[in-house]
Amino acid sequence: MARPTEAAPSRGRKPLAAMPHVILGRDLHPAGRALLDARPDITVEVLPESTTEALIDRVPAADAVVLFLERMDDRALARGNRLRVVSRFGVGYDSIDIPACTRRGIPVAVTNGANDIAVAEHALMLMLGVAKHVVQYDRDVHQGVWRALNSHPMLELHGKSVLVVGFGRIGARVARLCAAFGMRVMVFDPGFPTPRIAADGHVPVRNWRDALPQADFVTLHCPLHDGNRGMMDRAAFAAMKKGAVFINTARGPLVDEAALGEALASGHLGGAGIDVLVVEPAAGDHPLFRQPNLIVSPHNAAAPDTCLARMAQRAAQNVLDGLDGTIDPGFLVNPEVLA
Amino acid sequence: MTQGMVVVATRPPHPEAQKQFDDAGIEVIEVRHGDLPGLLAAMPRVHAVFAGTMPVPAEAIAAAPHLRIVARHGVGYDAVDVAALTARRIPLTITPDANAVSVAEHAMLLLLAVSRRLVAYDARVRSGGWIPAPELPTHDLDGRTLLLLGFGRIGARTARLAAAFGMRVLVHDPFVPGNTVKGAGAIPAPDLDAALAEADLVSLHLPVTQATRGSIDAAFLARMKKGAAIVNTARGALVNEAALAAALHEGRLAGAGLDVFVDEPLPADSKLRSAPGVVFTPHTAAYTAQAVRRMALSATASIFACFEGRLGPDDVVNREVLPAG
Repeated sequence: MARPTEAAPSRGRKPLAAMPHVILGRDLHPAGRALLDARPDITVEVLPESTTEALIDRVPAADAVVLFLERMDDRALARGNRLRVVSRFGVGYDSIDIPACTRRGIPVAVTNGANDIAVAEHALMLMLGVAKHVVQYDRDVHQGVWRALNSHPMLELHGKSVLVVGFGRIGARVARLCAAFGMRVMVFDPGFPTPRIAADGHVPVRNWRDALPQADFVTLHCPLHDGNRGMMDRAAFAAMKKGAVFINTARGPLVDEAALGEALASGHLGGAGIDVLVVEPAAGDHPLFRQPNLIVSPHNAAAPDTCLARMAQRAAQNVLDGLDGTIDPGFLVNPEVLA
Repeated sequence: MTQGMVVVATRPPHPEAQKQFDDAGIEVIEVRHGDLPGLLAAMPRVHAVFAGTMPVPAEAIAAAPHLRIVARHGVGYDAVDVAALTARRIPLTITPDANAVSVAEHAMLLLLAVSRRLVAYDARVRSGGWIPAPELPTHDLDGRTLLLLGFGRIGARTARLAAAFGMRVLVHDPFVPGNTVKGAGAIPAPDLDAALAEADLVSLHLPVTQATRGSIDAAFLARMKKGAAIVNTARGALVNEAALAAALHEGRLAGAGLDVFVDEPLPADSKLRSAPGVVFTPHTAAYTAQAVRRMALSATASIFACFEGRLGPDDVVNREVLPAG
């Protein structure tokens, strides 16, 4: 058995030289923790709190880290001289300075293939929830207000058009589910050959902005990087159809939240469903929350237990494979470090 | 053939339907939902009822000597006195093709919303909460078992959607051959008890009849798996609401997604209101813009077909009133 060191060792104590030490930003789901605990040749530590400061404090002792939303930037990397693998719990990696990791030869792994089902389901739920005004109607019924005729006009997904931005594991699943609902599915992904998108039965789109006016629903499934930060800006929302619905289960900073708020307040958009925000956790009085027909969830698309278990197993396996030098480049954001 | 005919509408017809009536010289009298005296006052002149959800009782039918058809805007007809119509050989029609898509979508929404506690998490974020709460666990639909009670138009459509989500779909419907269910890719479940013991989610898609009224009772709920959830987009009268509220309050069931209730609007003293894990909608499943239009046009088409003597059997509930052959 590994020696779980639940509390952080006192500062300054030297870690055992030979034993690789793994630091977890938060404790892992038992399914993943068990993989680490089963290894007698490593030690495991959980940060006292899941913050970047705590990470910076403890990172000198780490041969491997599992990160949630703690930032792995130059400050942390400068102190992480022992680091041999950075394992992200999740698939986004905007919280990690990838070029800096690559320069230092540190592989950055993500838990791809573990959360696509859960996030795709969540995106469909938000589409349906906004289309049917479920939060407003639930509040109405609980408060004793029965349906006033056409009080919250509802849409069918069937026969409507959706623009899926990003055709990775999650976007491809969302596209399939939308097709099952009888939607016309347009797909934009510059990294994917358009004949392949067409072969999957969808309509490939060469330029996502040009497709906005045709879409009744727009749903984001792309990673965040400097090239697309704030891509959903005033012009993008203005280009959307009147009454259209915007869904974001990808990353908050893809969106100019003020522009989204204006598009909802003016009634140009019919509604929005968002699982992610620019700043998380969000304050309860976030101005967006005052807008009509907005459904919000706390970045919990991937929170179902089966999904957390799969992600934790993957994150732990990525740590072990990284330490053992056997990691599958398919799980790496920067596979070039293996070359 | 239609000039001078009079239709009473217990819900406002869709503008396209209204235009068809206007163009044909048909007078439409609108009666507010629930205004029985208004309905009774109109009936002596009426040739057709364009029927919303308000009841069309025997006394209204008796007050209408010229009545030729009652066309339901929707598919449920428990609020219409069919026997009184049949006795006078008056057809009752429904709009079977109009709402299946919307209701099946709504059932999927409620299955997802209950499994992922959509409403509770929305409220949690608005009150400043963020990290997922241990007392509010969420579940994927993928890999879970769904039991559908009823495999008609809506149930069958829900089965297809649920299968697309990777669910294992069991179907209990004594009126549908097992091979039909198998052919649609679902699993026939003739033994209800065995199916309830397996199902993580149960969704109701059956009409209210003498046999089904109140059949989702304490005994039924007790046979469901602990932590399972139920979705009802069919009819409130299928469910014993006191028993359902008790199962939710006691934590035996994890949730309920309800679009329909025994009494609508839901009474202020209903124990369901304070139950944990619930998502409510006010009988809106079938009322998307598209479905409302289709229902209105379908009901209107039945009224025209009746006036023009060409009403076929497809949408008629009491087919015995139609001419033979």
